[in-house]
Amino acid sequence: NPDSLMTDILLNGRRVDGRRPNEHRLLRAQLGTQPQADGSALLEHGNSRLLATVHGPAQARAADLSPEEDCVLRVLYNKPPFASMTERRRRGRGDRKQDETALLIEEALGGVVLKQLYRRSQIEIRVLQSDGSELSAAINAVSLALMDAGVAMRGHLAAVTVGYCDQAPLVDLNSYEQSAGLPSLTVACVGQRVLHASVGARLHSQQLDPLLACASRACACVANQLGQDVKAHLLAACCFQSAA
Amino acid sequence: SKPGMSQPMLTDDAADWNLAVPAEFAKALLANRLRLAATAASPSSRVGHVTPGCLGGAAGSAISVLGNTKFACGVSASVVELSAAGTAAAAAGCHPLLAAGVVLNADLPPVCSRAFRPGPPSDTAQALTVQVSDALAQSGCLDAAQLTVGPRHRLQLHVDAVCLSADGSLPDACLLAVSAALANLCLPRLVVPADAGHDDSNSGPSVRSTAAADVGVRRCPSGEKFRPAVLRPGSAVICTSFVAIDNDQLLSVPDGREEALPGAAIVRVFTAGGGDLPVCVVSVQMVGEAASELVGRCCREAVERHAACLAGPLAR
Repeated sequence: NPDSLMTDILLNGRRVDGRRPNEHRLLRAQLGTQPQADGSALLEHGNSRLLATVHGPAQARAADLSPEEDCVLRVLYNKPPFASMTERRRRGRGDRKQDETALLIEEALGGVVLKQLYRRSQIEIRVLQSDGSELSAAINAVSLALMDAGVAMRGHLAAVTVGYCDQAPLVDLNSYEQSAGLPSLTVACVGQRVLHASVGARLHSQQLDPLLACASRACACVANQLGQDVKAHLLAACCFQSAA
Repeated sequence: SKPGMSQPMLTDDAADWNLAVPAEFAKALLANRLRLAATAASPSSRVGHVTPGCLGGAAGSAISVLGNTKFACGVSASVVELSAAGTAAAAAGCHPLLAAGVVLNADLPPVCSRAFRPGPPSDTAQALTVQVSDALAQSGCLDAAQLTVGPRHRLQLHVDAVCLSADGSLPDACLLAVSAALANLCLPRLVVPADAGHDDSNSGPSVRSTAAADVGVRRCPSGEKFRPAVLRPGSAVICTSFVAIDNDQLLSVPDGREEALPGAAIVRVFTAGGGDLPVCVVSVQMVGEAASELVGRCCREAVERHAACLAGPLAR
């Protein structure tokens, strides 16, 4: 019954967790949590915690090189069995959903990493997730880890998932809203350029434009918020250096 | 200092020397009885740091930090129906931990270290799973009776330990996380159908009986929770690793570089106990050879560290 679904999601203008439709969840990042990796980031996005590490650039395997000798980005996405809030599912190594997510992250990063600076090399990104959430949190964590590793990028890649409920766009869906089957859009962009967009559940063509506009504004907010965490990390590192 | 980030500080000259000739640098450190490991910074870093109950999706969870090695452990439970023939056959052939109803898996994903590639579990991961399962099974601290649900059902615990960062002393950090997660377990109370001849007295602590006979095991409608004491209260199973150099020096809780030193023997002492049970050494596993008095010293120091862990990170 669609009416009862809509009241479940949005009651008196508030969502399940008490947020208004245009409010994000708590977003907090820590860079450099794993000293032995070249770059690492721990991202807290609401109830999810993601850990991303970057190894590289390093020598690429001959089998991975394309004819243009471009940089190869490999993303390994892994979700431990206790990550889901609702059930424990033993995810095998060849889980297609994990491979698909890894491939989507690779494609999004392909547009933002300056690959021509890293010819014949391979940047390996490993993402481990806990308290399961979506693709946008993974993209945010990976771009932070790349920043920590010092890999050259065109800009800050930020991602957000927005949905449509009752003629109003909802920003930053949580897992309850996503599993309810709302029409949703995951967008990753750098400034004004959109690098990745994927739709979940059926989206009417008239809803697409307002959702895209809402999503780009939301991405800018996310980039701003995470940028403050990055600046705080850099300032702390600089102060430490000057004091030593 | 923050438990999350521990990196020993070197002056610029020392760091250059370490980069150029790492073997000589290591020998010089040992000759002067110095250690570079993050776990050697202070006695509390040697014992480790545990955060229980941090993962919302699991019934019991803990994250342990030992120097630069971090493990996240999650425990979830499912209800299994026992058949009389199945129980006997299963208990005969399988691992004693499985017979007690605990399925343990230690995972070393590629994120924890450059050495691990994606794919089937590596040899290190499989060896770690076996070491930790054996230690738990032989510890005598597991109380399988807490997992019975009625006459025909039993709770089966799935314990998943995932390494977030690997830098030596893997079984130490893994067992610390597993002990804390098992102590932290909080499950919903279950309702079991009462059949004729069913005796309430031996149904186990997790059960309420109901008159409805055709409904299977399900959660109590009031949603109350209970905490099964799968590990006897106040006890834990802990591993302490040592590296013995030249039968002379003993480095406790080594990091990755110290474990890989040439001519070094690794001694891992598994201890169990605490609370009502006396602390005892469950097993000693060695890679390489070391003099017997060194092994004796390892056992004594491991028992002391066990008491320190029970008083420190695992205190409830």
